[in-house]
This record gives sequence, C-alpha cells and structure tokens, in this order.
Amino acid sequence: MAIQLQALQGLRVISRYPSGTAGVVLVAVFTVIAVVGPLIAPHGPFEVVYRPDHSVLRLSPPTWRALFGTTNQGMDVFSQLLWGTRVALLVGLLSAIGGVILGTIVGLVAGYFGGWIDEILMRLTDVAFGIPFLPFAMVVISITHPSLGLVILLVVFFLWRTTARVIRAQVLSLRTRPFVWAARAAGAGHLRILLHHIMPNVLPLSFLYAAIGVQAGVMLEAALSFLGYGDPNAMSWGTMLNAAFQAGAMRTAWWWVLPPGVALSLFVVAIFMITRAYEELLNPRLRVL
Amino acid sequence: MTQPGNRHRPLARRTLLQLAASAVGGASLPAHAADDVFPVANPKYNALYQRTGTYYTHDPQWVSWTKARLTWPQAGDKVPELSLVIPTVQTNWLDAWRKFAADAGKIGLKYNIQQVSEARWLEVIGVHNHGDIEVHSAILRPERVDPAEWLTSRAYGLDRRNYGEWANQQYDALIEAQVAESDPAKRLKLVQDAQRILADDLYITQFGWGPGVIEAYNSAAWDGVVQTRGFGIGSFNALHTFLRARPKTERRKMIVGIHSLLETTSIIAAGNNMRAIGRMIYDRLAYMDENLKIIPWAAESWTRVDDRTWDIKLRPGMTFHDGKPVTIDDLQFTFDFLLKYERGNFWTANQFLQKTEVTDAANGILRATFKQPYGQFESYFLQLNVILPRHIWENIMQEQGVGTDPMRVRIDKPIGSGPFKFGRYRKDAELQLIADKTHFSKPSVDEVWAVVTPSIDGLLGRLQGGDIDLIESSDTHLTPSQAKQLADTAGITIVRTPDLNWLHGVPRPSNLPWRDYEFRRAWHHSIDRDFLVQVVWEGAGKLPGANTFLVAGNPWNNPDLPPVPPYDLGKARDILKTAGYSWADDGRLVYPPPTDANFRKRVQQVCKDGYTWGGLEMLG
Amino acid sequence: MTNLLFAALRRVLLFMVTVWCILTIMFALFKLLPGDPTAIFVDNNMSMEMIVHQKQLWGLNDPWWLQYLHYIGNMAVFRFGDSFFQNQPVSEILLEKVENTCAMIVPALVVSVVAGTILGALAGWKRGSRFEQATVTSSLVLHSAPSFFVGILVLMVFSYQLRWLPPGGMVSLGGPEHFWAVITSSDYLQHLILPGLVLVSREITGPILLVRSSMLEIKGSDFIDILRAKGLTEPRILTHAIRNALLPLVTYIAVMTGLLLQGQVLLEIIFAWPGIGRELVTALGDLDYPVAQGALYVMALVILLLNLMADMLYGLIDPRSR
Repeated sequence: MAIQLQALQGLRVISRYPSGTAGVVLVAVFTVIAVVGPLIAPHGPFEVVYRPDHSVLRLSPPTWRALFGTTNQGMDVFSQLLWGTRVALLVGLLSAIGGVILGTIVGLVAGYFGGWIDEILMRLTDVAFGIPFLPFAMVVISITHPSLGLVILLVVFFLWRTTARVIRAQVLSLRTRPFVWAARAAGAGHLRILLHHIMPNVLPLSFLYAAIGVQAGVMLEAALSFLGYGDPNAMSWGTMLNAAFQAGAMRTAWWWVLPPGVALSLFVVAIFMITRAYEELLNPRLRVL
Repeated sequence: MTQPGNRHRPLARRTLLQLAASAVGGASLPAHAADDVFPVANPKYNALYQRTGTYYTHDPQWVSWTKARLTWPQAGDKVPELSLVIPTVQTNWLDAWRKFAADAGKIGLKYNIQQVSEARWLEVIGVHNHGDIEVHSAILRPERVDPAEWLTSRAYGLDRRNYGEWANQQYDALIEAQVAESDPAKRLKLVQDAQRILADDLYITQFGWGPGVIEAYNSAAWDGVVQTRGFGIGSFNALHTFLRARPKTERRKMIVGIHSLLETTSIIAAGNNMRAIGRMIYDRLAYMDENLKIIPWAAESWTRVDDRTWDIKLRPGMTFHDGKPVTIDDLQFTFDFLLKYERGNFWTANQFLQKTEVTDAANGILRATFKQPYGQFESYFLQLNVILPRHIWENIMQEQGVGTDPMRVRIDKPIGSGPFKFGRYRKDAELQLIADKTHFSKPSVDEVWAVVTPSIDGLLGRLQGGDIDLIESSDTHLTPSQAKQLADTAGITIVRTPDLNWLHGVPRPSNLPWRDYEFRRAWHHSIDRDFLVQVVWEGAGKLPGANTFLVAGNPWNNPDLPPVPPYDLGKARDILKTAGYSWADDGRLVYPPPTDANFRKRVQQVCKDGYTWGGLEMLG
Repeated sequence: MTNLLFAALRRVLLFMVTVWCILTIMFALFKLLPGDPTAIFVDNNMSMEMIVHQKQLWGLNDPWWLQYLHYIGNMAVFRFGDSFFQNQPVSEILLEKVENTCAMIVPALVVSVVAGTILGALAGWKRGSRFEQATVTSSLVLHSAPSFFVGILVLMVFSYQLRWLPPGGMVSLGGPEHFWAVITSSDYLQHLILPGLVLVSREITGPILLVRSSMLEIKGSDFIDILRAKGLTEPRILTHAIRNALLPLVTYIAVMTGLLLQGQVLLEIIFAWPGIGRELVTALGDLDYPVAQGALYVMALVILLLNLMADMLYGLIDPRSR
C-alpha cells in the first residue's frame, strides 16, 4: 500500500518539472501504442502488402497504402513500428522489473546482514561485472536459440549488478541510522525492519534504476537484434534496423530506417528525462532551474 | 561410395573382427544388437546406420527420434509437428518458411521452425538430428558443376549427406554406375536417368531456382568483364574477369570488395575463402571456361588409357612465383604428399586415387591410376588438384615441427604458379594480388586488391562511391532492389548472369509421415513456391521446372522430367483425404486408421510403385 | 601503511578469485555450447578419419574435468593455443585485434573525458544558465540515439554522399602494415574521425553529467565557502573544485572503458574496423573455440583489472574510504 502511494506521489512531483513531464507524457504515449498498436495496425508485422494488380509493393516510399512505406519484401513499416512498440516495452519493462527486483533483494540482504553474506554476494556481483554483456549474450544465444524470453533474461542478468551495488551502499548508510536500532531495541525482527523501515527508503533508488533499466533493456535488445541474435519472430525496432541493414537499403530507404531509429531514440530520451527529474527530486542540489 | 567406417570406442574384439572382415573383402558380421532394433530392407545399408562412428544407431538422440517415427500410429494419432532447423543467417529461408508454415496450417500440418547458428546447423544436420526437413541452397564451385556433388551426396543411400535417408535401390544402382563410367556420353545418360527417378519418387523438393546472379561493376573504369554461367563476373572461383578485364583509365588495378578475408593462407587447411582466392594463386590442373566447359589449365592435355588409368601432360614453361620452374617432379610430389597426408580438402578429390608415376619425364607426362573405374576425372579430380612447389613443401613440416599434420603448417606467403602472386596482406583488411604476366593465361589486369567490407551496406556504399570496382561474388549477390539503387549511379553497370542456383529441401522418407508417398505428394502441393520467387527473392528467380539439382542451363540437366506439383491447397487436401487421412477437431491432420491396408502398404514400400526401398523398416 | 598494503593485497586476491570464477563460467558456457567445430568438415565432405583426428588434436575427446584443468592452467599463463581454423596462435590474433580496438577506443575515451570534464565543470559552475541547460539536454539526446544507427547515418552523409571522409577501415588501401606505422599516420586519423565521432557523442554524456553533479555538490559545500572566505580568486577556486569533482570520475572511467571494450562489435562491423569485437563474432559463428574463449577472457580480464585499479585508486585518493 505504502509503495503505491509513494509511486503516485513520485509521479506527481516529477510532473512539476517540465522535462520530467515531457518524459512521462512520451512514455505514456508509447505505452498506449504498445497496447493498442497491434490492434489498429493495418497489417501484421510480416504481412506482405500487394498492389491491386497483385504485384508486391516493394520498397515504396510513404504512400496512402503504406503510411511509412514498405520494406524490401513489401512489408508495411508503419505496422511493424506499431508491433515493435509492444516488443520494446515488453522487453524494457520485464527486464527492468526483473533486474531491479533481483538487484534490490541482493543489495538489501548484503547491506543489511553484512559479514560473510555480504562478502559472498559482493563477490558474485564482481563476477557478474567482469563478464562482458554483448559477447556473453551472443554465446548464450548461440547455445540455445534466439528468443525474446532469453533476451529478457540476459538483460536482467546484466542489470541486477548495478542496482545491487547501489542499493547496498544505500542500505549501509541507512543501517546505522537511529530509527533502525531503535526498532531493534523495541524487539522488531530482521524481516520487519527490512520491509518496514529500510525498504521504503531504498525504493526511490530502485525506482530510479528500474527506469534506467527500461532504457538499457530496450537498447540492448536493439543491439542484439541488429547483430542478428534477436528473436526473428518478434518484430522489434532493432529487428527492423537489422533487416534494413542486411538488405543494404539503409542508405536509400529512409522511410524504413528513420522510424525505428527515431522511435528508439525518443523512447530512451523520454526515460532519461524521467530519471533525471527523479534524480533531482532525490537530490535537490541537482535541480536545473 | 562408402565412407571408411571408424569407431570411436577403444578397440574391442568386435572391432578386430570387423577389421579382419574388411581385409578379406567385407563379409557381413554377426548382427549387432542395434541391427535388430533398426532392421533395414537391404542389409547393404547397414554400413551407414551401424558403422559410422558415433552417429545414427550409436547416437541416442537419433535413436529415440527414429524409433518414434518408425512406430505404427494408433487410431486417431495425429501427424506430429514437423520440425526443421534453419541457420539464423539465412533470413530468406525463414521468410519463405513463414509462408509455407502458414499454408501448411491450412491442411492440418504444424511446423516447428528452429533457428540456430550456422555451425550448429551444420552439426545438427550432419548427425541427422535436424528433424523432418533439411533445407539447403546451392553454393556453386567449379568442382560442383559435376553432378556427383549433389546427385550423389544428397540422395545416394549410403552417403552421410543424404539427410533424409532416402534409399531407392534403383537410384543407388545408377549412382554407383555413373561414378565408374568414364565415357561422358554414357555417364550423361545415367545421370539423366537418375534425375528421373529422383523427381519421380518425390524425394528432393526444389523450392525455387535462384536467386539470380545479379552484380554491379564500375563500368567507367573497366571493360571486358566476363560473365561465367552460374558464377557471375566477380567470383574468385571463376576468375576470368580478373584475367581479361581491360582498364579504361590509367588505373590498372582492380579493387574488389569482399566480406571477409582469408581464414588461413595455407591451401591445405583452406576453408571456402582461401579455396576461392587460392585459385588465383595456385593453378589447378584443369579449369572451366565461362560456359562451364572444361578447359586445360596447368595440365595441357590428358588422355584416357583405360577406365581406371589416365595420363596427364603437364603444361611446359610454367614458373612458380619465386622464379623456380614448374616441373613434373612438382606434380608427382604433390600427389605423393596429398595421398600421404591429406585427409581434408583434397581428400574427396583423391579418395579413389591409387597411385601416380612419372612415365615420361622429358614430355612431362604423369600416369594416374585409380582404385576402381572412375568417371569424374576431368570434372572433379582435375578441377580440385593443385600443383604445390616441391622445394617449399618437401621439408616444411619438419622445419616447422608439426609432425605429420599438414593442417598445422603456417604459410605466411603462399607461393604457387597461378596467374596472381600473393602481395601485401593485412589481416581482415586487405590483400594485394599482383598479376604474374608470364602466366600462360596472360592476365590483363595489373593488380587485384581485395578489401574487407563486412556489411552489404558498406559494399554498396563503396561501389557507389567508386571506392571499389566490383563486389566479390562467391557468396554475395545483389537483390533486384539493391541493383536498382545502383542502377541510377553514373558509371555503374548492372549485369545479370544465368544462374544455376536453387533452394531445395528434403523431407525424411525413412520416417513417418514421409514414408507415405501420397503424403509427400500432398505436401508438395502445399508449398507456395511463387511466394519465394516473387516476394523473398524479389522476382530474381523462377519457379523450378522440375525437382532436380541440375537445373536448366546446367550441362547435365535432364529436360524431360515430371513437373513440380503446383501450389494447390485444395488438391493437397483431396489427396490426403483419398489417402485415408482425416482432420481432428483442432484442424490437425490425423493418420489413416491402422486398418487401412493401402496406407500400410504405402508406408512399407516408401517408394513410388516400380521402385524398391532399401532403407529403414517400420518397427513391428 | 600496513593497513593499506593489507587492503591492497586483499583486493588483489579477490581479483584472482573473481577471475577464476569467470573462467569457470566461461568454460561451462563453452562446454554447453552445442556445436561440434568439426561440423564444418562434414559439409566439405572430409573423411571420417580426419574428423576424428581433428577432434583428438583439439582435445575434444578428453574427459571434461581434464579439459577443465588444461583450460585453467593455460588461461592462467595466457597460453591460448592455436586457432582452430586460422592456422595461427590465438594470442597473435588477439593481440593484433586488441591493438586495433584500442586504436579506436582510446582516442575517443580521452576526448570524451577531457571535453566532458571541462563541459561538465563549466555547466555545474554556471548553475542555472542557458549553457547548462543546453549542455545537459544535448548530451542526453546524443546519448539516447543507438550508436549503430548514428554510425550508419554519419557514414551515409559524410562518406558516401559528401565524400569527405573514408568509408571505413583503419587506413586506406595500400597503407602501412605495422601497427605503429599505422597509428602515426594522418591517414589513420582520417579514418578515425567518423567512428570516433560516434563514440564520443555517446560517451561524453557520462563525464558531463558526473562532473556536473559533483561540481554542484562541491559548490554547495562548506569547503568552497571557506576558500572564498580565504580570498582565493574564482579561477583558483574552480580548479580546487574540479580536482575534488574528479573523484567519482576515476571510477567511472574504469567502468566506462570496460563497457566500451566489449561493446564495439556494432561499430566495428559498420566501419569495417578489424577489432576484437568483430573477431569474437566471427569466432562464435565458426565455433573457433580457442579464439572465442581467448577473446572473452581478455575482455573480462581487462574489465576486472580496470575495476581493480579504480578500486585501489579510490582507496588511495578518498580519505573517507579508509
């Protein structure tokens, strides 16, 4: 209950900042598109657009039949963009949530209990930090086969380590505060202290890193798709760019290239604006007037 | 064409028996336990299933898959999900299969399409664990113009690369005959008959003939590019352009864009890249002209002495790039070396060679004797074999301390006798090939530079910008839309060369449901080949005229083959219905009931009426 | 002093343990990697004998624990063996590729850090100004665009269309062969501009924001007020402030380099730069185990080393962490 209230309050405060508001609005737009897009899309993501004379509408610049033009196989770019929004948000959201939950738990446990639990968990984080993401992801995807679920899992693996470190640092500083040992003196158990006293105070940080995670997740999925390791059955923005690149059409088919590129950039900028507004919320000295 | 069997396990009594038996001439052994589990119609095919290393009957994955598919279906059993594996790099295949899968759904078939890396794909199909359908595209090389490369390896019952394990005894007899037939006219007849059986029995499935060979080159700077049928103008495998192109400007060096460069510089350890570029540096004994007609190359002429002996006359006056002359001793040395050490690239070329000897040193004549009658002398054997400089290779393995493994030899600067010398080389960046003007082919270009550009986008951009003259085409062709992009650029000319390409697939006739000829027939009708050609290949291809590898334009093509069953989902359904199949409530196809005698007969027979099946039998 | 030494030693020990953990994970990964590297021989129809022999040579027939021991031992002394397909020792291949990648990353890094620090410090110092607004917003926007997208765009505009800059590679055709000759040529600098530009545009955001927020913290702290009370001039106060703001930057650089090193794949493909990222992709595709393992190991090692150095440096500089 307290969590939801906090989130709502947070949202309201962010909207006091113009850039933060813009960010929230953009993300809201993207979310709406993600939900509604595939329903209103004129074609499926792999559907070929034909002219009335049954010839394929190939590499067409924007026309009434295809608002953002078509690909080299005659697929509708506009529809692909709409479908891709869903994939982007799905990946971003799921991986961010997963990464943050994992990272927060690890950070909480490590920071609170200290001692050898902390040591082990921090060593694990070190190991995770040492593994280069993109090469590792490529190897793992080669082991199995490309799928969206796998990409999400990999991004979670990549995101949790930063969150863990940051949350742990926060918990370390909180642990020594008076209200904690007051609670302990009053006989509260560890779990209670963690959940009631410490966690609400690290949540804002978690939320921040969740937002960062969304953006990282989307970018990483795009990078993997561009390299050809993405899920071929999920039409994501990265997949669109990869298809354009592989078709050698990137230099001429601007209608195919700009929408996913701009969509990616916009989405990331929007998240950025939110996170920055939030950061300034947490740290008043950072505020840009 | 049996592969030398090889066991992985430590020598056991049984293996010793086997070795003894094969020494005496292949007497059959007491049946192995697995023989009983997987009976074959003709025991000769046991050689494949029982004695190929850890594969097939020794591979638990293969065993469990095959067992399930050789079990008679019960009443109401659905036709299982049909699986196939596609390498991720082949996006075209996936695009076509999406459509095929959608269509198949309408007749009650469900596909499970898996995408894996190329190496993994090779491994999976290599051990026949790919599932139901294996898809392959034609990658033409000079030695692959010979029909054996495809007809034999992909459809001969005893070949490992017959991924669907089809074993049509009449077909196999023809294949065995054509291997040994050295009279080209007779061999052609055998090959054409074999194609007829292949098409008739509905084994291989041609999805499309293409994609077309479309290339672009810098016509402001170059003239006289040579279009080699099936290869195009820019392939190192068909290097006529590099020999005969005429510069129109002062620049006499040709710059070629290529995806990657030289996994190795040793011709012995060569992969596809070095083998192609190797043709520029090392002479092979024979070559082909732009119409795929075989022409003499390092061998000036050859004569057939009898059906297993040939005399090769070495072309006089050739020199290696370090100035030393090419003599008959070098040729003799090469054969000795390859026969002694080579188990890799040159093994397939020489696996039937028994011995070579110099019979007339003064005139440069070497006699090659084969272990059995051999029909692929000029189209395969001469196309693949090189001439190694003896003075370099004689002691190189001792010098480098690599024991008896030529694969580990390091050659920093390959020396051959070919039309081009190996010049400056920066790994993964560029290679300079300098023309050897004393070469008998008299190259008109002074230098050829290969520049690495890992993306098609880069290649197109550089061509348009004039940074490269040509895109190397052993594995890269342009699509029509890419060509269109370039067509508007001044100074660039688009060239389309007749191609011999195809995309084909093989189902698995040794397994259900493919054992049923009627099922295969219906399946053929469910494939929208036009989609592949028009949408995926952007129109640069054509509907296959017949289910053969040797397409129209290939000198070995049989023009009188039954046509490919047309795309007709209604017809597919009708065939299935008549054959006894039905559909479940969820739309999935259901096998005919166990009481259907015709079904049982067809499944046991596998082949069309008139042909005899030799492979795996149903269990029970 | 001994405390410091002890702390450093402990860090080094932990570093080695971490390296060992990573090596084990990578080994497991490669063992799980399905795919028989001899599969490529099957397609080329090589003899069964050859395939068996090759597997033997590559040690693929040994029991897994033996392979593991060999692996750990070899990696520890940087004995990477020979590439499966390239006929060359892996260390030779990797060294060249790492050099090439560094040739792209290091200049970009230096520019990003230096320019970013200056811009960030100024932005922080000039709190509330339009300059600050503009710097922060534009660096954010630059950072958000996917680098492969930006890369292709700049290539398209500046190379293919305008023909101002070369279309890729490290040097032009026929350029110098050896690494140092390449690095010291102006040709190389020309080739560096586009990929460097893309890298800088992406990486400059970090230092800018970091130094700016550091600056803001310091500006508002007592430390600066004291200096001002002492009568120091603005520029001198600024210098003091910058020096303190640099602390978090140190750690960031270490992390940043590590991230850069492994993220170069995309740019190397687009700009045809013969670096380690591209090499890894090729090796993975070919199942060239030794090269892929070696490359991963080198990357991980560099990241960990940099983190270690950053940790130790931080421990030295920051009195609070003692």
